Amino acid sequence: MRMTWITGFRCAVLAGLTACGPLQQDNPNATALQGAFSGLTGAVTADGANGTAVGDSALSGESQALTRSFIEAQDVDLLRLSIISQDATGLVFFGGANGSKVTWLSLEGVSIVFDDGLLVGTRGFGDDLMGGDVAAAKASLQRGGTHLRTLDFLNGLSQIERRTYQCVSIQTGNENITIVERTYATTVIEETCSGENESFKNTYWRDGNGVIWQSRQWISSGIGYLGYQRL
Amino acid sequence: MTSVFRFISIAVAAISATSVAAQDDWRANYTLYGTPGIIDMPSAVTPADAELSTTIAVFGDTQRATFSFQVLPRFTGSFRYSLIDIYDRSFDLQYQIASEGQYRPAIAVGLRDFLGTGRYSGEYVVTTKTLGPNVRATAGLGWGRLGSLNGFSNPLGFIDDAFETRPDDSIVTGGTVLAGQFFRGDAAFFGGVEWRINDEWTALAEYSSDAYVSEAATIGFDRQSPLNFGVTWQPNSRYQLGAYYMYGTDIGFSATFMIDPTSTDNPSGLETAPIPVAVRGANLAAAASWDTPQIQAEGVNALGPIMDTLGFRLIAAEVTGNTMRVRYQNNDFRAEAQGVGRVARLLTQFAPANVDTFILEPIQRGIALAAVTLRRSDLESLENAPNAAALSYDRAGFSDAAGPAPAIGWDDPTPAFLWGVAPYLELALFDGNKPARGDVGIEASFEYELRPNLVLSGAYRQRLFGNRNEVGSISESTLPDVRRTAQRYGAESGGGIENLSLTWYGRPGRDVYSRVSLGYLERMFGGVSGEILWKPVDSQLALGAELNYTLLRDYDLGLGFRPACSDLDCTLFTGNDYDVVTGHVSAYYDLNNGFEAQVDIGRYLAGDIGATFSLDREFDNGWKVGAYFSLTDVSFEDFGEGSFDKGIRIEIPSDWLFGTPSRNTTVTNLSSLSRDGGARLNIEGRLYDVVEGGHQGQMAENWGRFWR
Repeated sequence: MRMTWITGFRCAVLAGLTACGPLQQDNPNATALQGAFSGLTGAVTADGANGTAVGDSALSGESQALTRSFIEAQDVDLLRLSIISQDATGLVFFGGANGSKVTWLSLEGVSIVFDDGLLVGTRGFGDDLMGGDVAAAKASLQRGGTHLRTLDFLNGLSQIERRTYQCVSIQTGNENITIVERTYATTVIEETCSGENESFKNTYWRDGNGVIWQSRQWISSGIGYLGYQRL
Repeated sequence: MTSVFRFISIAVAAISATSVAAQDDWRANYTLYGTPGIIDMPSAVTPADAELSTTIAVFGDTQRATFSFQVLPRFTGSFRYSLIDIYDRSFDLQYQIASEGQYRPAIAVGLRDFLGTGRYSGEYVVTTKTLGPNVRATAGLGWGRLGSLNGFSNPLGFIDDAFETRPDDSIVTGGTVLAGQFFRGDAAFFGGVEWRINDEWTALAEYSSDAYVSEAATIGFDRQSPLNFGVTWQPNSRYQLGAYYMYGTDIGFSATFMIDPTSTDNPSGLETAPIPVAVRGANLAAAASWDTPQIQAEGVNALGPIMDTLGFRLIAAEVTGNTMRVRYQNNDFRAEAQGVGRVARLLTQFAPANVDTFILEPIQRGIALAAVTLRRSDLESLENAPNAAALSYDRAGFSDAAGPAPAIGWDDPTPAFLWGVAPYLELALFDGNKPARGDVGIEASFEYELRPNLVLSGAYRQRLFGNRNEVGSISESTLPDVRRTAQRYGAESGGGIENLSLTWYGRPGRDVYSRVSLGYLERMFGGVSGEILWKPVDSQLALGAELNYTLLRDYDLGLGFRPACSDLDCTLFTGNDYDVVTGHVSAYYDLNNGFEAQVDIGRYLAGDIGATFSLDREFDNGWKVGAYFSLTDVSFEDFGEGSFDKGIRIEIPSDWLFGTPSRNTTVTNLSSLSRDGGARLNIEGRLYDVVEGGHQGQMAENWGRFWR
């Protein structure tokens, strides 16, 4: 008990009036102060457990060049993911499958959900894609043409906002792409969508079996685009 | 008068102009009064719905600080604290009768300083028309101060001669509605033009119908001209800076800061991703069933630590038949709906395969708030489905959770005794003779949990620096000093026991909640407080009753009590310690349109009897902006300055501010005067605030976060 109080005194006074103790983990004054301090000193929060670094970069960089043998040595499926506006690239791992939808998780605590390679959800990016109706888009990627896409977002009032986009997909050519020592013959498909407030263009590199090996897809107006490669 | 006619011709031109329709993206300009308008004169332009603004303005010897809120799309309310000859508070209201059309100008009617001493009192009808993409013209007719220059006989005189004279309706103590003088006396024209030079800069010119008679008399303001000129710079939607040439003699400046509570940079929050749903038959690794007590206990012991790392405290769980019931506390997430969604997804990974129904019982302060029933198959089929939030809400069931906890309790290893040390900043704003006083110090607090619903807690504060020790004058009153000497508390001692109390929450029956608090309940009172609340989980209406017996605490924030002071300015203390029985019956009603109303009737701390009326606009993201007033049998004269208790309160959720998950909020009370009439105990954790977030109404509002 005596130790606690002494420690408490030291952390409040010596650490420049930041808060401590289990009761103060969520103290808003302290959070603001810490933010101000880290802003002043340029310090980066090293506390990986609090997950708040997500806004700066959702993914840690790849520490070494990726090799096929490394990928094959893993007992879990991997995906290489980039958040283009944040200049961040990293590996995410298989988190679970629900029908055709697969959830991929990053060690930093974000998740991304693809439905047959089409993005239908993100979590942890600040302006997440909360869900999407991509059934028509899937069909349109097969044969080209126009379709509607409905995407769900959370707005500033914590309400789901469903936005519908008019889209057209066209095959723009064929390309051989190499992903970590393997080369795939793909067709490049561009899906251009426009809605009331935003428009975006997704690009897919798909092989003859319908597998999308590489893609660039729009998440939200706040986060922009992601890119991924199947490994 | 020539300038008046010039402005009339502008107005006529405005109304008849075949201009483009209103420019939707041209925001309202804020005046030196902190209200939408030109420089000193109002306009009929409204800020965006829900916009909050704070304006600091100065010209000559006049200083004004104004808080303004767009209560409804057409209705603006403002509260102002100004230095004229003395510090003075004022409230304004403006209502836009008609929005701008292709030919029709926007039309608004307003009351300036309609309560109180009436130093700024004036009423107006004003029209504003957008002429072309970059010019906005305003013309209006003002009464009161706004009719004090070149006034003419009141045109409303044709209705009743009484309109032609303006009575002085204010009373010495101020604070009452000055309805008897509204739109009475001479009227005058005013007007002005806003010219948008480019996206950021706007030039302003106006003809003011305010003669500044009282400022000329009291602070020697020299008004030479009715014309004011200014320029404002608004680089973004967050602030506006202005510089002005006022009344032919003075330079003025203003700064306005705007907040839009309805938007944020991180609408979905920065919290980590939830655990994905496990689908039975595909990827479920959980046990086949929890058919023996041992397996149940092992399951609970495994679930508890996992929930703990995810921001939840497991209280108890059980499996009966095909149903798994889990009682838990959400520690991290403002929206209980988000907590329900996260716990449910975790349970899909964890529950034995034979379970097809989850009953989740979120608790706060140890009492269960609701039982939310979810079908496992719905979680499996709706995860990442389009429109998943609405579909899952339709399939969820809500009921009362008054019964006993699930059979297998989890033995939480978190110590029962928790402590914390944190800095605090205490500001006393707008007290009579100084606009702001403040202290910075450290606060040590502890919590000792005897049971989840029975907690001993306390806080001790020590000032490090500040000027709250300079106690200003205490206003005179014949009432016991239950609030007006608030600034003396901890002033000399530099701190002390803020609170130290034992609180027990209970669920005496279906739809019924209870609280008993015992100890040093707040800075000024100690004693015992009991409360009971009736609120069915799906009801918009709640009824409550509270009964308290409390004694007045010593100024040094120690353990002692004291008598009320026995003279007018509070220097003499004789007789027994002041004790009082207070209590209220309360009705709370969620109007389902974003507003919530509350009425409390009962006995207040000075022994006065009356009622408090509150109305809050509650945003689904946790923001609250509200106003309240109390009327009791204390006469306006005995109450003193302000005449009766009233105020504005703003509550900002921390997760909105920082983006990271939190259940904290910051509450600011803007105009509390700390007078003795209409004063209630400041008890932390009143039942309605504890219970509301876990009930169906608020869960429905936040269900968009269920899958977040």
